[in-house]
Amino acid sequence: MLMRIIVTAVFSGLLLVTFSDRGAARESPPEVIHFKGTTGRPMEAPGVYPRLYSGAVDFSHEEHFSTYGLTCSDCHHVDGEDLSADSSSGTGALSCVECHDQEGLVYGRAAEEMSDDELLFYRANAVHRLCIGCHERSSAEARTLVAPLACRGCHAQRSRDYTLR
Amino acid sequence: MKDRDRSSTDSQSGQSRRSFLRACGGVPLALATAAGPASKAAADTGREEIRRPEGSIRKISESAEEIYECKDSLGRFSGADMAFKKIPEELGAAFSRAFKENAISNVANSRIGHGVDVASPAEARAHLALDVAADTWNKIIGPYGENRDNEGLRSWLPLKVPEGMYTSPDPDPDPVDLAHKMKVIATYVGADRVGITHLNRKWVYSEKCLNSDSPEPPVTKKIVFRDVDQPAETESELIIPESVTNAIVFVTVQPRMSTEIGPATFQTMASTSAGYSWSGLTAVALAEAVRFMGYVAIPCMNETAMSVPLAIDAGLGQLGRLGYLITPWFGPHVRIAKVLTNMPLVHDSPIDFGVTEYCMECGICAVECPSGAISPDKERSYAPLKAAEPCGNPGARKWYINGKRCLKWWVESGAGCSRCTSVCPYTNLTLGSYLGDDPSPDGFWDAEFGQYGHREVIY
Repeated sequence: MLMRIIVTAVFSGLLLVTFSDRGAARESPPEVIHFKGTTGRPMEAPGVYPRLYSGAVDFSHEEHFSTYGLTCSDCHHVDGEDLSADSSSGTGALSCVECHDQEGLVYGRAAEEMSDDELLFYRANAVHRLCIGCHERSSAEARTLVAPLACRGCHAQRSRDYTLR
Repeated sequence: MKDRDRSSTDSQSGQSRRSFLRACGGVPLALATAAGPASKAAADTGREEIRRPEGSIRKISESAEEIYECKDSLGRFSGADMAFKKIPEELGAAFSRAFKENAISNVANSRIGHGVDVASPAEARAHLALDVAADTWNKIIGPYGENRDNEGLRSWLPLKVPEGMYTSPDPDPDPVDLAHKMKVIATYVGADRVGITHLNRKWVYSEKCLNSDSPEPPVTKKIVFRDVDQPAETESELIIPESVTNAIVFVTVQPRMSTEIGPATFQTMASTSAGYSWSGLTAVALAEAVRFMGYVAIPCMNETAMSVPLAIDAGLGQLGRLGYLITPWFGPHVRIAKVLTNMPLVHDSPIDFGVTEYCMECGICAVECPSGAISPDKERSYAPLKAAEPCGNPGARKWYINGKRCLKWWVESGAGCSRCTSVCPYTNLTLGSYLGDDPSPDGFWDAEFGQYGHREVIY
């Protein structure tokens, strides 16, 4: 299948890609996608603290293809899939941001107060659910933890520095 | 006891922590004292400023039940709902096995934990050997205690005290004098702070889980109170005498430097293990002393009753956002153990030194937690997140942690984590920091002897 990568969004350091075979150009997927570290969405409820810090993630496309045997459609929407929202980009490609159009990660009690569908509008929630869901299934099959579940398992976080004043 | 943090001096006043304590007339509130060398150099740009905890220790009349604003629906918690039981069920495998596999993998790959490399597998093995040593007494006593009620050295009946002694108390006991002497004995055999409280049965577990490390459905045994002279165990029950109405609660400080080499490494494991070993030994020894005085003594580490609310009732600290007890003397950098008894003892008062208000603002532990197990919400709640259930007993107002996330991270990293404890400002202000902003395991073996966390008892 012909694929091309369309970089669809770089918002708040979160980079998402989607695949489509409708484009003219042919490109190979990048071996590694670098997700910039980002400070997670401050909870919008007033006074809620803290913001969650997540360091950068170098996602290895290559490893997930070759070692874990994933295919494009395991993670990406592809042509023919019945999506609830149509592309409005005019390119024929589906942009992640067109549906998952809310920035940041909703977390903690705030996440519990939203429905699963509502949470999917938040890009980081969608991506986290995708990654962690697959990691959980893989671990369940192996009857031990074989893929990262914890934040720090993927986010190569260096601690923030604090000054006590 | 000498000050552990010999190297800490206050950056502004040059005042040592110890001299500060003396200046305060011995009031052990170290919260406004030195932050240690690592913290005092921290005025660079790009750093987040966190307000320093400050305040004074105030005795209060409210019990933990009142502080938590407990609802009537709050029930006694079951050992079957502990995260250590739920993780095996979710993994479909024993927690201990999964954890050990990844720990061994760390050694083979020259790591001492998540993201912390060392020169060789042999070097990693030496760091794990440190934990093996620190954990030895803990293992012998019955590791950590969870769901190991009345097992091994933590038997509910005397180990060596002859029957003629443990059944013949002084006919005219003085609760004030006994309380003082038990605190001295507890300190003599290892405790760093001791408090005494009435035993609120809400904090006693409802049942022991007999197959805690198994992925199979829980098998349990009830923990009940009966009108009996001595504790007992039957096929279906663990029996605590009705007369057991007091708890001697104590904390033992963990070695500080090791928890800086984190977030989850063999070093952080060793610190925790050392805390458990010391607290377990102390509980067993103190229980024998109580029995020798003629009373029932039930030594506990994490089992039989919830340690944190008992420690709050005993005046040893307050509950922090991170789910641990925060003491004014050592922050949350402690392990708690207790002896339940029918010895008549005068009680200590709970204390307040502003932890709840401080934790509402701070939240460093939640930001730094590698697994997102600590609540990021400003306000406390009356129930854990649904994803955390059934771990966490609903009905008390507090910051519930997600124990399952926490423990899965331990498995994932192949090492026990201490990140929340290490980054807590109360830890840094009481015990200081030895290794600066970029802690490395390289210098561990050549540190000054006192930095390893040995108690420096004045003999």
